[in-house]
Amino acid sequence: MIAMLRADGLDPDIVGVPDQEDSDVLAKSIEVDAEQYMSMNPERLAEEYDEIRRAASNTKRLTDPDDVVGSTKTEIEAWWTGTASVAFCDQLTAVESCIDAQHEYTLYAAQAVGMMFAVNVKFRASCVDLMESTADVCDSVARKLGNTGTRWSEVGLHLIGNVIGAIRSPASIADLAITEFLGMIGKAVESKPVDGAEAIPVVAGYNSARDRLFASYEDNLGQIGDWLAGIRSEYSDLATTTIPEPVPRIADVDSPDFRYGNFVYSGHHAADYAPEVERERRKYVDETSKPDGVIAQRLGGS
Amino acid sequence: MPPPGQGFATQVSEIERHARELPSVADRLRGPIAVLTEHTATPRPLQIEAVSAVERAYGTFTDELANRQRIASDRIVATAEALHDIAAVYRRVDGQG
Repeated sequence: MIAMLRADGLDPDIVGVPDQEDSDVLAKSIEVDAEQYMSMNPERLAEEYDEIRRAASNTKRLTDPDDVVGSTKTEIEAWWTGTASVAFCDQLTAVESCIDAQHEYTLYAAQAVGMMFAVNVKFRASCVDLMESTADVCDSVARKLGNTGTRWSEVGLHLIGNVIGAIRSPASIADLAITEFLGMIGKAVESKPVDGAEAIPVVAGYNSARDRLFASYEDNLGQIGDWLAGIRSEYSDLATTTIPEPVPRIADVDSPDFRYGNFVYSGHHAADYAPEVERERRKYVDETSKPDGVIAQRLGGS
Repeated sequence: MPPPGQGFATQVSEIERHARELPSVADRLRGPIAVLTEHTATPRPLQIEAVSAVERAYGTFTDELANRQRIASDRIVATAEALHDIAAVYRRVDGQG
């Protein structure tokens, strides 16, 4: 670009401070842009994508392969009645829902990483294409050949919208290679001409294209942030049905609210056994309860 | 009081078995937590706000996932302990505790 300006008899002082450091200033300006706008590393994002997908898969496949939660619930429903029995079954249902929701929403996290990857890969390629295509035009203009119709691929605003539209469900992320996100971008990348056929218009065209590209990058990242906010809101709404509650007092033998009638064998009349259960409950609590507090524990030698 | 009966004893044994097995579910559910919390991005110098914002949003979300997984694991263990205690009391009533 500097050679083109000099060839056109112009002072290549791109920052308005004529001195001998102009070429360094230009190089530094490009470096700063690169540091600011290329700080997300696609290789690191690809590693993260695989790790998060593995975490999702492990949550679903490895947490309860023998269906301990389901068989416990079946057992309680089949043989035990009462409010504590219902509370345990509700608790175990919430655990099952929790495992499913954790799997699904961890895959949404992987989708966010996949979208960041797609934006960054396409943005970097677009930046390089703009620089190289502009350099070709600068070279052509410096040799008095004008602009021969050189084009570059510009990433537009709809990149993330296209990716979100292409992914039908988070389950599909489980088998999706991160590079497949790049194929979902479709018409969000457009072929554009390098503007200008003379030195100043080429410089102005480059600056304008670069600013558009950076704005598009920021906008696409903002769209990922907005999408994540929506997913987090959905996830938050699921809290009441997918986070197991603390064990209620009616189901806790340490509590005086526990009764045999709360968790009664289906072949029994609760009243026949309630007094003995209460007697044994009290003895059990006395025998198993620990002294409260650090001082009491130290006095007790524990 | 009539004797609790063989069926009662059998089902108390089953409750004990499930109370022993449930903590392993909690342990395995805790497995991915470290991965979820490791991935909070560290801000870098000269980073534009749009990058910082999306990394923050992602880090907050994965922290929320990890936190819920931790709570669920703790409550599975508490459920197992509650079932264990009930079975222990019922064993005594059955004269086997």
